[in-house]
Amino acid sequence: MAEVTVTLPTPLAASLGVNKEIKIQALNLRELIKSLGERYGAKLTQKLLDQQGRLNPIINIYVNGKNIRYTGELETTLKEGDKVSILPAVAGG
Amino acid sequence: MGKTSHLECRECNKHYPLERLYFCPECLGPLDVKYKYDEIKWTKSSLEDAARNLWRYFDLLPIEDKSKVVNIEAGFTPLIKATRLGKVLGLKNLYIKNDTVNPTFSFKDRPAGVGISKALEFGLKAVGCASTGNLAAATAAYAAKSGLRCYIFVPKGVEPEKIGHALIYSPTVIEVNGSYDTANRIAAQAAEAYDIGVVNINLRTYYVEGSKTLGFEIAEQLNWQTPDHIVTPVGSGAMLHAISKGLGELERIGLLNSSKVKFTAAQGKGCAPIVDAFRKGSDFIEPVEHPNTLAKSLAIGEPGDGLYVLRKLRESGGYAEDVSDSEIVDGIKILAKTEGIFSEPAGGVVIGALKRLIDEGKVDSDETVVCLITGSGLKATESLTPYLPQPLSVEPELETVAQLVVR
Repeated sequence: MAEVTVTLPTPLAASLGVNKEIKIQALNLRELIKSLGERYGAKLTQKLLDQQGRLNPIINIYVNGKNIRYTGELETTLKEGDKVSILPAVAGG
Repeated sequence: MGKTSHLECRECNKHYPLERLYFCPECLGPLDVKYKYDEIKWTKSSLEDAARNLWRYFDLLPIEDKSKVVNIEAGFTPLIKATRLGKVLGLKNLYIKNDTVNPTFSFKDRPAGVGISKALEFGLKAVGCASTGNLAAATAAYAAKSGLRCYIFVPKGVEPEKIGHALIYSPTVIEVNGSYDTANRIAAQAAEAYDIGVVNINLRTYYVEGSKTLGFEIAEQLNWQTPDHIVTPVGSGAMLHAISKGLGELERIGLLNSSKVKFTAAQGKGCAPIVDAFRKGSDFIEPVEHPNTLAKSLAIGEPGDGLYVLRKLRESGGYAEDVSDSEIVDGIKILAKTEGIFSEPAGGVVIGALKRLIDEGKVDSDETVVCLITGSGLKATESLTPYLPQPLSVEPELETVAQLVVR
């Protein structure tokens, strides 16, 4: 198990009533999302995944700055000390 | 009480007060500003004497305190009947919305103006943006006018003219070693960490409202009618969505009988994730990790509003076209040669896409078509130079010139 730091965007952290930075243990992204759901409620998992269990297209997750859509999506492995950022998929304008 | 009503989630329809939210905390979907439409009493004549800039539409823009408006006289740009280009292409009613004449030479003066005015209203001390170039100059100019500190995040590879243009307004320009999407991610993290109002990220809900003034103007300049077809360049898709929202609002307040218009989204080959998804009939937008197109201002591999553009194209019976670099250059040249308008590559994408639609029989010759030309060619001269002929060099003798002049 690797302990990683997850950063949530402010409005999401506020709505969950949690800190923006969370320490959590997981081996890959799928497990991390499952653990977040167990800790903060299934509602959080429902926000992060679509109905087919894939990453919700309206968010992006980065591991050490790399978008997981290019690194194996939910199968992206995690190692000790990784920094995971969850951000809404807003880009351009 | 103000004229705005609430924020509404585009996905789950949940309502929120008009606060510093840039996505729905419930489902993470984007938020739209809604107004007290029944209280807006615009008539065709009531706008006649309004300011000839985007703030003429103040009642449907999300700023409550007029003293917070930052105005650099952007907007209300010409809608030109393109008779010569229309003749070449075989269209009788072709119009060009020429947004190259904005103060920083692109349409980005519209959303940046609203985003920065909202930052002032929220009492922020610093603003910024993630930009492929055009928004950089627009944000920096408005920040200069408002006196706010400004941080501009750009990817590697943006045209030097665009960087220089932004730098002149004295913001802090941060060139991120990576693609636009990487610069965007860093800007989003900086916005959160240092309380910067990054206009196209954490002020996005308000910022995008500025782009809908393009729709207001097109309708007003066509004497309160919608065209049959709007061909628009698409990067993130926010502008197309905003124009459609604006037209819908005009219908809602009774100024348009119908807001129905067909949209075509135009992207550069080499970064056309929305066109690809449209052709596949899919709702999944496959991101482009390494965009490669002459149209750098559209090189957004992970388009934030892509899904909503797809819905709009399908709803409206529109199309999506991707255009090669050589088609882009041809588009820029034919627009300049026939209408005297010098566009950046995004405009070449639009003209290239229109040409494709005509060749494929998707546009009738008598349809009213509006092409959005959203940025000036002076912002991208370096990338266009290789495609231009050399000037004719002569000795200072009239006889030499005589051989070159058609008589």
